[in-house]
Amino acid sequence: MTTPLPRVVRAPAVRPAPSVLPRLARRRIALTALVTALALVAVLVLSAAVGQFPLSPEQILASLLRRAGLASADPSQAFADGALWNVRLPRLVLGALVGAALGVAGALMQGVFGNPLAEPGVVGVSSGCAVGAAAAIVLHVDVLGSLTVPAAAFVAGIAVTALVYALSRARGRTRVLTLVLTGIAVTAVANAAIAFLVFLADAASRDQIVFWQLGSLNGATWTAVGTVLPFLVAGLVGAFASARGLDLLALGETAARHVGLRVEGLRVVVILCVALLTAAAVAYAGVIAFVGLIVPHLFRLLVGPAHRALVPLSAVGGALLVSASDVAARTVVPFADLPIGMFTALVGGPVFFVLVRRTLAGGSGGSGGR
Amino acid sequence: MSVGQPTTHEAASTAAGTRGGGVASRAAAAAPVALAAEDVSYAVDGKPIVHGVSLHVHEGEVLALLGPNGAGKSTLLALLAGDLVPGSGRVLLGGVPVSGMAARELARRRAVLPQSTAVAFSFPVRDVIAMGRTPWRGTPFAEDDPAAAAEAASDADVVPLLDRDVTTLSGGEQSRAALARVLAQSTRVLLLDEPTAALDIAHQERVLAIARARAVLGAAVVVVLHDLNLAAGYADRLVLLDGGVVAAAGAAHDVLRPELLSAVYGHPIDVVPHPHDARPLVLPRRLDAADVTNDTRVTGVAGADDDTGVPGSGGAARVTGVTRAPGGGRPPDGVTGVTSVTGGGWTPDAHASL
Repeated sequence: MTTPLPRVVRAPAVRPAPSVLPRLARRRIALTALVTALALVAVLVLSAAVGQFPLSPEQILASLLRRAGLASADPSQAFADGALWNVRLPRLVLGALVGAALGVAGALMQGVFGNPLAEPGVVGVSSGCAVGAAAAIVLHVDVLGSLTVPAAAFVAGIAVTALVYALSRARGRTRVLTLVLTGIAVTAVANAAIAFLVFLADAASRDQIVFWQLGSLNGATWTAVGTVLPFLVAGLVGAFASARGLDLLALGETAARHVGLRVEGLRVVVILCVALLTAAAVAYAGVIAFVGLIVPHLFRLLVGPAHRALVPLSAVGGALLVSASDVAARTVVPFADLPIGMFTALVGGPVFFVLVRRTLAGGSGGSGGR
Repeated sequence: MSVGQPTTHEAASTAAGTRGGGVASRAAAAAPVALAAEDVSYAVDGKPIVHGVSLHVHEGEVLALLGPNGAGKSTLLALLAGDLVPGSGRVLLGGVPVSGMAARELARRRAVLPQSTAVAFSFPVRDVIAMGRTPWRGTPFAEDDPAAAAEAASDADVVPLLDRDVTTLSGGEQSRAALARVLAQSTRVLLLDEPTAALDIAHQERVLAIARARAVLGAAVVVVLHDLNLAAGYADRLVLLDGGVVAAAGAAHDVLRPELLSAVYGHPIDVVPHPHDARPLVLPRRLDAADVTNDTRVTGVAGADDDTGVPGSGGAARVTGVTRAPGGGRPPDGVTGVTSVTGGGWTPDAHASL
């Protein structure tokens, strides 16, 4: 068995040994998680309450209890129950799941690229997924039932993620400029493909495709929730398993290998997870950009870059951002359902700009995101 | 192996005390070979970068890899580290071929300090050091994590930086943080690629003293250096590379010869004994502005010789051609005890004849 080099035995008086191991900022992480989770619950309740048919929190609670069989049926509330269970709840649950998927996908991409600007929407992975999904709909492929569209999005997502990765990496690093340019190129090609598919499509499919490009949770169903959930769970499991490896990858590819990381293996797992998560989000909610950019960045500022904390917090934070954006999308203009991607982009665009400026000003040409 | 030195400094001075002449290298030669390159070659696009290099590094030995830019030092180090697979020949780590070894197993046997030590995200220095302990996770040696990390941090002098964001450190501080990570890995083989590049004099000496201290504990250390005097001061053996092949190997006195260095570096170089310990002290001749340009505003002479030597541009043949514009040269004398460059090298006479 390989053994370490024996250590020097020192008299403690000569040099008091400092405590050098990482101090996990448990308190800070716990506090951040608690505040984010409470905010998410508050937004979800708000989301269930507001709309064309306003519901009070008491009505929501009563309805939930009735569904759980803990309260007796109340025929007078049938309309409220219908609005809640058939329209509001699937929409807000789908929104939370999609947000979580996008938040985690962003954290994973930034980790594997070693660059805080990597994000499925920015680098074109979302558009790539949309091409797959659009193709499945327009060409009326239906081999996997309700799974067909997300599966097609997933396959296209893997291809595009791997392509972006291959194109934007040089000598084990990703330069900001290369990454952004790759994103522009990939998005342009994907948009061309989508334009062609729209041209081919019949009227019904055309509407559906237009929705994606805007990003919307309109028309969410429990079936959609059921389809997204396994993708999200698989992606999350992979993300947690990769967390420590992603920390090491911050040292650079070669140095990560030097401390024993199987870089190639990690890369494959992470790219699969990104494709799974993005495909799940895109298949039903369309291209909601910038969630994966803002959320991990914010939490990195709050709790540090260690992925064991960053990945789960990005899930909760992503759910919060998308849920809040959805509330805004439904209520800012009365009786209108605005595209949700509009709101995330409204916040994300300026954040992206500031990040690019700061990274480029870092003097490292953005290599490694200094 | 000797465990029990109270501090690395003492360990280092003990080592220095026993090291006069070739004694230590002979002692090291008796120790087992920790790392070996056997007739290793590596080419990029058909252009050989490293060609037919064989070397053995013993336990308890510090070996310095020297040579001009592009001599293949870093490539050889990457081959030794297992980062690159040699086109021919093989690298053995503890007798086992590196090429077939799993990343985790390699990481328990050798640690590498790369030239580029940038970290992608804002990890505190203590987290970076802890990353060096990764290979020992899940083994009984993980118990040593706190002690090994503490020792590495104080050896690399980064204790005051532990809670600093590694991306905001200066180049030298970042390089020391990376060194601490590498030391925390506690491997029996250490490969350091220009560990002193960004460091001030005190930290340069300290880093090499740490390398010596680790060797005293039984480690085999390979260090790529540009500073020949640091190599002379701290390494048991020196390997001078030139154009991907070994130009010379052995103790400092055998490798740091003025005519050899002048030829390999393409620059006139003197070697004098160090005033304190008589180890070779390498002194490059200083150039005048007129040596690097034909511009008459600099040379002061219209139509100055086209063959004005441009140092570093072409090996031994070029050295003999070093000429200086009249009046531009500085007398090479005035240093007592200078071992003059002789033979095919640049000579004071050649200068005088101008």
